[in-house]
Amino acid sequence: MSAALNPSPAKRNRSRLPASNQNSQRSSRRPLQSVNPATVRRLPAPDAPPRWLRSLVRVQQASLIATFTLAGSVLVVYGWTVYAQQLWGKEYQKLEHLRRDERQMTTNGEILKNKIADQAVRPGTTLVPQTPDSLIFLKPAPARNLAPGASPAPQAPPIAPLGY
Amino acid sequence: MGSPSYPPRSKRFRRLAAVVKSLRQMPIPQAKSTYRRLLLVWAILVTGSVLLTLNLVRLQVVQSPDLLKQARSQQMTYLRPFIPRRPIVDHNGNMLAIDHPVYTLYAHPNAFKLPKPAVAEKLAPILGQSAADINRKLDSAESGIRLEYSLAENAAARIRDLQLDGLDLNQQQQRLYPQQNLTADVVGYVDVDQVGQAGVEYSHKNLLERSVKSVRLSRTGMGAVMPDQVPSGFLHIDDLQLQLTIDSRVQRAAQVAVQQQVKKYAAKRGVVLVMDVQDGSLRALVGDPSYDPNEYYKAKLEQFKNWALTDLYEPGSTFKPLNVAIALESGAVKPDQVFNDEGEIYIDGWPIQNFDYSYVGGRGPISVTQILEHSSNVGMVHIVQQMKPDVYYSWLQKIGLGQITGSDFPFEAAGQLKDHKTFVESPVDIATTAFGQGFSLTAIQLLQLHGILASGGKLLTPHVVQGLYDSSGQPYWQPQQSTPKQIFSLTTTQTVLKMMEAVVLRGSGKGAQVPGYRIGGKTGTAQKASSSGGYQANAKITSFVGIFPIEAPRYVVVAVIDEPKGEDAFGSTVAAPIVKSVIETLITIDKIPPSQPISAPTPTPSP
Repeated sequence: MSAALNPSPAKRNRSRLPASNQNSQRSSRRPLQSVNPATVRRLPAPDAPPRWLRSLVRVQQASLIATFTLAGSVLVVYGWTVYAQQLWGKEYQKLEHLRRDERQMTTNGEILKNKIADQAVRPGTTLVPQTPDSLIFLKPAPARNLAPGASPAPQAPPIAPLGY
Repeated sequence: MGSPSYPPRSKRFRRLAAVVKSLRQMPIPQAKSTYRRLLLVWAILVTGSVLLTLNLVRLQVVQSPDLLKQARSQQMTYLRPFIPRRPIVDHNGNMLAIDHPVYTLYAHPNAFKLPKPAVAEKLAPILGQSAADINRKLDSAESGIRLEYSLAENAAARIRDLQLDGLDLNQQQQRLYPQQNLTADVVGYVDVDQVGQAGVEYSHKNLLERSVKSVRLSRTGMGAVMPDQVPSGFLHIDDLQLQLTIDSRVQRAAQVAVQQQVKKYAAKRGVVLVMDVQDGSLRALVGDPSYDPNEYYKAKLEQFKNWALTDLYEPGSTFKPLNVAIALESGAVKPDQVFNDEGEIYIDGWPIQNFDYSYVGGRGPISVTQILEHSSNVGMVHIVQQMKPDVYYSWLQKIGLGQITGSDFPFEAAGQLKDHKTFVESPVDIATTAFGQGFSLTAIQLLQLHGILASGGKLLTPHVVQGLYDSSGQPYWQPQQSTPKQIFSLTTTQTVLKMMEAVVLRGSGKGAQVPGYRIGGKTGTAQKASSSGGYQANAKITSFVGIFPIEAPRYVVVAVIDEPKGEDAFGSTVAAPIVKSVIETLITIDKIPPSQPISAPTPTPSP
């Protein structure tokens, strides 16, 4: 019991009277009246932990930081993969829609062409088929020979605009 | 009192150690129960963790396969991307056949959340049926009711947006032919299972079909697809299309012309073929009557075969130019040689006469050109008699009689020619062959034979498939074309072509004249062979072959009309106008300039 109770009074003393440091110091030099000097023990001053223990502690702290960083990045990467998959899904839907639109446009265009051509050959239409009579064939004019040595007209200085 | 029994550690541990030690050292029973309580808590915690470990082992090891199967069935789905049959396009890129997805709607009333009339109400405007009809169908069974088949994509998307439970949409492919009956003879059709049954759809199905692999993909909880194990070629569907040599414009003009003549003469059927003599590609092949491949089930069975390739007939007078070419090439006849046309002769007791013998009689000595102009059978017999029989027979085999042309259409029939022994020993067979009867061929073989004359003597293979091209016009695959054999020499063919020009200018081919252009041709009016031997009395098959322009031939046009009726139904009246109309179309499409100035000059304004 003494060992259990012992640290507390000394601690309480120190915490309650921070200003009176000198008092506590003086009390350590002169025994307090309420305390039996024989029961006052010196606080065992902890020895510095051995070097391997200190490095182990440092390793533990570093691994703690690393763990938190990695956990954070795991969450980020996971979120990114889910987002990428969603994006892929959306783009795939878009691709399917575009393909469908292309198909429909081609089909509709072809059906329209066929309907127009069908109507064109029916009697009572205002369209007539092309015949060779409606073709005009022109012979290209023979190449003109430019007079050799003909120089272009002397370049007059370009007339600048006369102000705006 | 006293220092701790072990060297000092960290603060916490020291404190705990101190508490435990004090508890152990305490003689009072309170401490012992506290110690026991601590022990109990420890025991409970350890037992709990052991039980958890055991459960974990049970789940991961023992039940693992079942749970895995359950998870897969919930998450994975088979995705069948829509990989259609390749489209077919014509020479100019017009679509002749294309696939599109259609949907079949199934209803399972036992999975409905809404009452049946409400579902029927919602579906009625989309399906185009009355709500009462749909309600009746829904009442017929508990599951698996087919409400509608061949739903278009838009309608299916609208039904899916309704988000009703108990409705199922099944995707299928369906082939659409936008040109309807224009190219039915060339393209053919596919049946319900997307298997080609006729035409190019059948003969080139290995080029048109693509293998469809369904891909297993996993789904998220929302139903979106996750690209985890997508195979590498999943998204890329090649855009190759099968390009034909057919030109839709020529095809349409030919169709109009042949329909007109078939109707006018109440003929059984007609066909027009146009071949480009540069490489033997077919510019048009159209028959009447034809069918709409979109509704192939409505057509009569005999319309599915392309009778230009399957049906044999005796060519008659259209074969005469080839006999002349054979005679000239073998050296037996000179181009300006004169023969006596008696009008009627007897070979082995069989009478052979010209078609106009009854009112013209014999013509006397006429040149080879005039024999063709007047289509004199007797003159042709004399020409052919100048050659030795086995020489003549070997020539007939050389130009391909009795064999198939090798075109890329399916179901082509080979012509029939008598065997060597029978032929050379029978003068009457030689004589009938001289004017194109006694053997048979298909219309496409007639096209090939006249292609020999038009191409300067080469035996071309008529073909309709140009190759597999992608959408930017780059060739991916083209059929192998062997170099054509040279059968006749150039001079022979040019001589015969000039004779054929005379037929059009002065002879029976006047109906095919186009002012300003040099056209050569030959009419043919043959009696049809009857199945009981001999010939039918009233059934004729009329044809006309046109080659143009004569100075540098580019096209061969063959028109055959089967069984035209009427007193004036001859090749010159029935088939020649078709060829004239097709040639006019070719002139306007290819902008072929006239060979001679047209005789009626328009007045030019004076400068």
